[in-house]
Parts: sequence; C-alpha cells; structure tokens
Amino acid sequence: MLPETFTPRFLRQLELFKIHARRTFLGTRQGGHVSPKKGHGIEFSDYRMYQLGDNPRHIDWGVYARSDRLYVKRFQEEQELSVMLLLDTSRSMMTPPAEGKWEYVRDLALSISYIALMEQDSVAIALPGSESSPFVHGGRAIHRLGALLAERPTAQSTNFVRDVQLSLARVRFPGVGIFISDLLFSLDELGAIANSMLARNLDCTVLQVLGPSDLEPWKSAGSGLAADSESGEEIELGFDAGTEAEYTFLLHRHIQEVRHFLHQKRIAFVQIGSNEPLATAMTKHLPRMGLLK
Amino acid sequence: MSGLPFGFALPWILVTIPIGITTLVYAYRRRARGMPKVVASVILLRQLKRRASVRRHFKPPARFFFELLLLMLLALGAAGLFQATPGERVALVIDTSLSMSARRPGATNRERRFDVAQRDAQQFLGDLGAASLIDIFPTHLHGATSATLEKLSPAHARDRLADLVPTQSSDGLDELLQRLARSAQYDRVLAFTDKVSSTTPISGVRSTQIITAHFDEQSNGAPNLALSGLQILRTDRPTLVASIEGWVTGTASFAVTLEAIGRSGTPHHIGRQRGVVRSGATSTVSFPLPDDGALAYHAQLEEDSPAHNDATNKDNDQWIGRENLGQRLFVASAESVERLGLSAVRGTSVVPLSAAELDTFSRSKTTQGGVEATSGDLLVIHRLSTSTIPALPTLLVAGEINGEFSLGAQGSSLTPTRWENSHSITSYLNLPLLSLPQGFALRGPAWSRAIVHSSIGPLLLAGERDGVRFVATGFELFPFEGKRAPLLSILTFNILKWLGGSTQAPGVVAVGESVELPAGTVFSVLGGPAPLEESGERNYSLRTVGIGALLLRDTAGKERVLTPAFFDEEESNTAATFQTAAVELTNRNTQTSDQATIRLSWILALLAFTMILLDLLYQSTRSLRRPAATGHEGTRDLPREAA
Repeated sequence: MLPETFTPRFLRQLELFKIHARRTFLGTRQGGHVSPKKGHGIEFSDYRMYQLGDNPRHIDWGVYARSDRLYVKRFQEEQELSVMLLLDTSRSMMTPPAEGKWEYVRDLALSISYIALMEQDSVAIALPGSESSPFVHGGRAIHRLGALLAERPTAQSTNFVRDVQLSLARVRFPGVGIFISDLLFSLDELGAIANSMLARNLDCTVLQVLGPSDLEPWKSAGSGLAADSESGEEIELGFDAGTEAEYTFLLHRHIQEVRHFLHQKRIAFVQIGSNEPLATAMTKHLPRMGLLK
Repeated sequence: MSGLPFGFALPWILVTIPIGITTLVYAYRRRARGMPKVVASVILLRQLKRRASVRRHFKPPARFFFELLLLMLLALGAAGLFQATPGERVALVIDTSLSMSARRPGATNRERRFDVAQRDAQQFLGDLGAASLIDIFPTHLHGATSATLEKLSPAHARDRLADLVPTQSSDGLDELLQRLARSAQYDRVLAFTDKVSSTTPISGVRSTQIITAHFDEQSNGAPNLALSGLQILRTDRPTLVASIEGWVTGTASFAVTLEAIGRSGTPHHIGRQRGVVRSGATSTVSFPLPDDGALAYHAQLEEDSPAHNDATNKDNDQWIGRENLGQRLFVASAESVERLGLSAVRGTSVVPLSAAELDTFSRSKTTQGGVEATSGDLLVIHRLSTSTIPALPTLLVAGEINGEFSLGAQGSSLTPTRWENSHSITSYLNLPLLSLPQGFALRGPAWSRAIVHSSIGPLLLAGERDGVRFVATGFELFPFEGKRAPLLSILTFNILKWLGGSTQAPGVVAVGESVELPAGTVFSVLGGPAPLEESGERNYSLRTVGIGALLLRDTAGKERVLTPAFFDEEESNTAATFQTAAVELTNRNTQTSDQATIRLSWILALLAFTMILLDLLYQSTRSLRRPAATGHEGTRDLPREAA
C-alpha cells in the first residue's frame, strides 16, 4: 500500500517526469533511456557499410541511390536505467518522531521510484543496516517498495558507513544512485559514503532532508539537557538570540561545506525541508537540480 | 567556641558537613536537570560557544531539606555534640611538690606522677564546657594564683597546665583545699595529687574530687613521718618553721632537733621541739633563730612514740640556708619602684637609688642615706649606666650598659631562637610563648654565659665572678607580675631567685644545684682518708663537717658548705592505706557523670534513625499507592546505550 500522499492526481503529476542521468548506462532490458549500445532504437546514430548478413531492412536506399553504395543505418539502443535509492536509516532520521522526517524521506523515495518504474527502469531501495529490496521492474512493483517502507526500519548496528557499503555491494550494473539523508554527520563519513557510490560507477545524487528541529532546535529542545539520538552524548543547552544566530550560522556553514564537498566530486546535491510539500520537492527542487526531467 | 554552652568531642567531623551539603546540592542539581531531550544530532550543538549561557536557579524540593536536616543530625551526632553546664567555675588544684617527680621504679617510659596528674587534668579540661571558668592552683604557690592563671577557659587552662613543673616545695594540700572551701567561689574543686588527703567534702561546693596519681607499687602501707618542709619567716626575730606530715594510724608524736652550722663548719645545737601529727595532716613546729652568723640550719625529725615505727626515715632531715635573711633589693632606675612592679616582690624590701648616686653606690655599696648593702642583697640597674659594677649580685636591664656588659645590635620584633634549658633561670620557660617587641644583643665577658639567644645575638647573659652573680638582659623584664607578658615575669622571678642564691645563702649550695668549678679543678678532702687530687691554679678542699654536711674551701680561704638535704622522691607519701574514711578516692578516669556534660550524640543519632525509618515507611507506602510503572518513564526515545 502506498501512503495517503500518493493520490491519483499526484501520481499523474509524477508520470510526467522521468529520471535523468547525466551519463548513458548499459542496461539489461529494453527501456526508455538511451544506451551506449547500438541497436534497434529509434534514435539515428550513424552509417556503416553493409556487410553480408545485415538485415536488408536497415539499408538506406536513398544513400544507395545517390552514391550507388550500400549503407546500413545504425540506431542508439534505448535500455532501462538502474536506480539505486539509499535511505539513511540512522536514528537521527526518526528524531523527533512527531516531525515525520523519516516519513517524508520515505515518500520522497517512493515518488522517485514510481517515476523510474513507470519509465521501465529498474529500482532498488536499500536501507543500510536493515533489509533492502531487489531491483524491481514495472509499475506494480511500487507496492512492493511501499510495503518495504511501511514500517520504520531499525538499524541493527551503529556503523552507518559500513552498512551503506554493504548495501552498495549489491549493485551489479551502473546507474543512478540517490542517497537521501539529513547529512548530520561529519564530512569524513559523507566522503566515505560518496566514494563508495562513485566506486560503483553510479551517477550520484544526494538529497538532504532536514526537519524543523534540525533547522531551529530551540523551538523543540529548548533549554536543558540534550542527548544525541545516536551516540547518547549529553550536552547542556541554553538558547538565547545570540545562540540561535550562532546555530543558524553553524548549520548554514555545514550545508555549504557539504555542498562544496559534493560539488568537487561532481555529485548533485539539493537540500529539502521536511515541512515542504512533497509535490513542491518533486516538481520544483528535483527537476531544477536535474534529477528529474 | 568560647562561651557556647555546647561542645564537640570530635570537632573535626564537622568538616563533613560542607562536603555533604555540596554533594547533596550537586545530586539535586543533577536530578533537577531532568531527563535529557533527545535531538537528532549534537554535532552542531556541540560547537556552540554559548550553549550554557542560560542557567536555571536551583529550586530544591522539600525532600532536599529533609535530607539536609538528616545529614546535619548525623554529622553533629558523629562529632559528639554535648551540652556543658554554662558558667561553671572550677578550681583545679595540681600538686607541684617534688614528690610528684617520682617515677615508677623500673619503668621504661620514665613517666612521673606529675605527668600522670597532668594528663588526667588535661583530659578533665577537655571534657569541660567551653563556658567554664577555671582557676589553676599549683600547690607550690600555697593557695595563690598568679594573675595570668585566673578565670581561664578550658583551652587556655590546658596550655597553662602544660607549663607547670614540680618544684622543690611542700604541698600543703589540705590547707589549700580548706582555703578554697572558705572562699566559696567555686562550683567544683578538683585536686590532682599523689597525696592521700583527709579532706572531707567541702560544704558549699557541689563537687570535690581528689584525683590520685600514685603508682600502685609504691603503696606499701608502712607508717611514715616526713619532714616535708623548712621555712624561715622574716619577722622581727627570724623564725624557722618545720612542717611534718604523718601517715600513721591515728596520731603520732614526734620531736624535731635543730642544729646550725657556722663558717667554721662546726655544728651547734639550737633547740628541740615536740609535736603531734594526725594521719594525712601536716603539723608545724617553730624555732626562734639566734643571730649567730650561721650559714645553714639542719633539722632532724625523730619518732617520739614507740607505738609507731617510722618505716622510712630517710626523709626525716633537711637543710635550709639562712638565705633571704636581710636581703634587700637596691633598684637604680629613673622609674618608680611601683611602676617597675618591684614593690610586689614578697619578702624583700626595696631600696630605690637615683641615677646620680649609682656611681657612688657602685664603689662604696652604700647609699647616700647611709644604707649599706651586704652580700645577701641584690642590685638592679634599670636602663642606667655605671662605670663600675659593684661586687653585688646585679641585674642589668639593657639601656646604657657600660663596663663589662655592652650592647650590641638592636633589633625589632625579636623572637628568641634558643633557650639554655639547663640553666636555672630559663629551665622552666617554653620558647614559643615569648615574643619581644624590641631588644638588644649583648656582649659580655668571658665568664658570662648566654642563656637566651636570638638571630642577632644573645639577649640574656648570666655569670659569676668572684662568687658574685650577674645577669644582663637585652630586653625589658618588668613588670614581673606578668599581666602583659607572663613568661617575662617568670623569667624575672627566676633571675631574682638566682641572683639571691635561690633558697640558700651565698656560698651555700642547695640540693639539686650543681657547683660549677673551673676546668682542671682538683679536690682534696680535708679530714678524709686521702686527698683526691691536686693541680691547677686554685685548689679546693672538701671535708665533712658532721651531720652530713660538707665544707668546700679553696686556697684563698673562701668556703662553701654543701648541705645535702635528703629527699627521696620514691619513698615519700607511702602510706596510702592510712586514708581516712571521709576521703573519696577516685580512679584516674575523669570521664565521670559528675562532670555535668550531657552527651547529645545519642539523642541526635536516635532522631536521625527515626527520620530514616519514617522516610522508608513513606517510600514503601507511596509505591503501594501508585500504579505500577509502565516502563516508558525516563527512557522515551533514548537510544539503548544512553538508556
């Protein structure tokens, strides 16, 4: 079952988009994306001399009439695109529970998956540290993915980077890799994840989803003792106008560092607030950054 | 603590109160911060420089005060809080007679009776309430307390008590106790002594205790008569008074024979007196002294009733010199005698000298009024200069000292660094108590000896030249009454006593005193079987002159009579079994209920225990009234590690 957000109207909106890869990838099946493989597509590629055994239907008779030589037309083959969705399943994504940051990430992932599946692409959703789906095809597979994400995943280990690397080990064909996280960890960890994705020859995209408590923690945590959802580290908090401004500065600096870091690695990046409507993210942010077309 | 009606047996435990309060406040502050709120990540919050800028005030709950009260009660109880009787006036009599110097025979620690009594008295003072007022009566002062020993707090009394030492004197304990009874100024009278007193409980005094400090093995129970003291009264006609103490069954009659020894060394009979003494009491007999120029007197006690055999008769004879007879104090000073405090010197007449007549007096030893100083008189030169130091025992108080004693450097805020504890002037002083606002270093002749030293040099010199004693002080010694500087007053007394030959006349050495002779001195015994040895510039001869005395004579004809007055401290007061029924002897444990201290520790401990029980009861019933815990409290959204 898909979440209630996926109304027929919203689904029709999604069907207008397709996943855009900045490179061409070899696929295993016929699909809607141009493949580097020459074949029987509809997009003309080039000519070559006729050879014995070629299908006579591919002979360009107009050229033969002008040059008295037999040329065969070659076409770019269109194949499916492998889309790998990596979702951050760490506790920070579920904290605080009332904000629905994880649900937002889930809907985002299902929306992208729906677009890909409707374009005959193969989609896999990996939940590092938890279970993951195989590469699925066809529009109906969206329900399998919906069932996978129906429950909140529970990470079994605290080494998120290693879990991501284990999930990426399942990738056999290059394609598009999309990592959705709040990125509230160090650049070293992000670098390890990015390198692992690039090592799999994926066209990488990183979506950062931040909740209201991440943007303005003083409205939810207030003053007192704060504990890290993952490490349990406790710190004394006391907010005033100066502290709020300092936190805002630190957050923006962190985002800029992430953006700069990913840009150097030619990884697309966009930051989305979990309080934004999903339709806005799908119809504005992702097309603008080039993931959707 | 002074003046408070409460005291603590272990006051150092009170240190745990601030430590406990700090710990309690920390625990409550920690608890008041509540359960931590879980946030997604603290990676950015950790970088905040001002994250703890907002602090909340500490608002303890009611239980905090409950636990604080419990903590205080436990600490006070552990510290041994007790309530003392407020304003109690205590007369503490401590026996300083020479018998208190007795040591346990064969004991390794060489503890004296006085040490035992002193320790018991210190313990008693430690248990007294801080508001108590204590008067200390050393028995050698015969009922007097110096001004510095009156109305002391227990803490000060303990300090003063530590300064006392046994002296060669009789105790007169019974008379002192009766005198205290007549004064009716005290709530309690405690006597620390080795005597078996016959004192009955004193009327008007709430409590009378005799704390005995004797050693068990000494009480052999044998009857004993002792010649406990000889004293020469300075009246129109000098009189010798002999004190006799008896520990017998009932009463005993005795006889005292008095003999004198002159410069020739030949003894001659003065007289014989009879008397009766009852057990535990002191009896006296008197002898008018003829003016026959005797150097010393010898008294012999004899048993006069065959029914009582004096088992120990070693303490039955004593010597006394004709010491202070006619002694005067010539004082040369710009200050008046009253201002110097010398008018209060007992048993001595003071002859003031002006600065103008000092030089004349130094040469002729005669004042302008025609008063001639004799060898037994003392001269005090107080901050005046003289070209000649007379052949009199002289005390020079630094001012403008000429002659053999000269001034050295001057220093301010002097603290003596060393005392010559072996010298009779300074042997009873404690170094840390004396601090001088200013003083002079002294330079003396070779025959003088530095007694008190400071960093800038000797402050006190003493020495003998041709049989005459001199003392020079580099600081002000007066007033000797010691209202401002008690140690200086004791020092002054000691100096005057030393200059005056102590209890003996010049030329007579008392028992316990040593005769200091030049190096290489050789003795020959006149009348003995053989001379000892002979060499050196001056020869001394020593011979017996009958009745146990020795005569020391040098080649210049100068004589000294050695009078070994016998005193066996180990065998004195041996008749403990002859105590009278009226005397209540206590053991040495002074922790008695009679000390009017009420320990509150048990009350506090009981109160704290009750509070703990009530708290446990409250907590148990509270858990019964409340529903079972759901298991969600306090662990909401916490990661497993943190929970």
